[in-house]
Amino acid sequence: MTSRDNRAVVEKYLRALPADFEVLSDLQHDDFAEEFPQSGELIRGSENFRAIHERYPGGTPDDELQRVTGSEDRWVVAPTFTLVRISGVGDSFTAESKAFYPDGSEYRVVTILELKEGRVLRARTYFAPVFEAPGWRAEWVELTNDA
Amino acid sequence: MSMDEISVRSLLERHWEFAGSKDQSIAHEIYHDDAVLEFPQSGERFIGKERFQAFREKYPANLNFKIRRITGSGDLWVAENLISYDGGPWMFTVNVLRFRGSKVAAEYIYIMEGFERPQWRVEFGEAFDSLAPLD
Repeated sequence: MTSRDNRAVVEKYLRALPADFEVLSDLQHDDFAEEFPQSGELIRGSENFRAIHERYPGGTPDDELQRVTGSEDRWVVAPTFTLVRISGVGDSFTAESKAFYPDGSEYRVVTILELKEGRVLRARTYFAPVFEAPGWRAEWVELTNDA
Repeated sequence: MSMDEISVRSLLERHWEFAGSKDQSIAHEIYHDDAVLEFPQSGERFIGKERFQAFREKYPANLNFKIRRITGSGDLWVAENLISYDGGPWMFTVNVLRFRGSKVAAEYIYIMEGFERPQWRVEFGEAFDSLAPLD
């Protein structure tokens, strides 16, 4: 499986998140597992993954893919018409996205993906709330429109 | 030239060994002079090593770091770490590091607290100790 093939898998996987379960389970390796390190949770297998996402209280977050980083950057248009930077080589990819929850809160979500045999073997997902830029370091900073 | 895992690990271990010190010069040896540092959660972007080294030297807290895991390939590496402010509870960080040659050209840092394992999904998962170092 070449890096280019892996990139296509990653793009397809990220676009299928969080609830296109047919596509997701097809792209998940037989030994797939997802970790949520902040809560110390390990979810093994596509069935458990699906069970959790189907039961998400308040509905699943509305993911707007922001950036997939790696060493071969390029831009694509995601199905939501958000510009997305897709990159990555080998079996390691990182996706940075925006998530808007039904309660109005906003997060940056980082998902680290490890591929094996052209499918997603491991995903580790972190949820980072937006915050106001601290004033004490304002003299050195530029503010982007990302937050 | 892209970085191999041993080289990256060695650079980053040294970086975080000195990242909590008042003298930030050693910690900042890993960056190109024109490196960019971003905190996507706040939309902050620091352009140039001089600027982000300056704010880190004035950081209003004592910082401790633990490396949990370093993964990646080519020019893109990710560190999953723990950080503590003034001896407080460990929080999680993800540092996405883009190399150019043997130095870091761009870094994106995410910081977040841990949270309780939600009870409604306990039956579908397992618990693990995410505060323990991995590799």
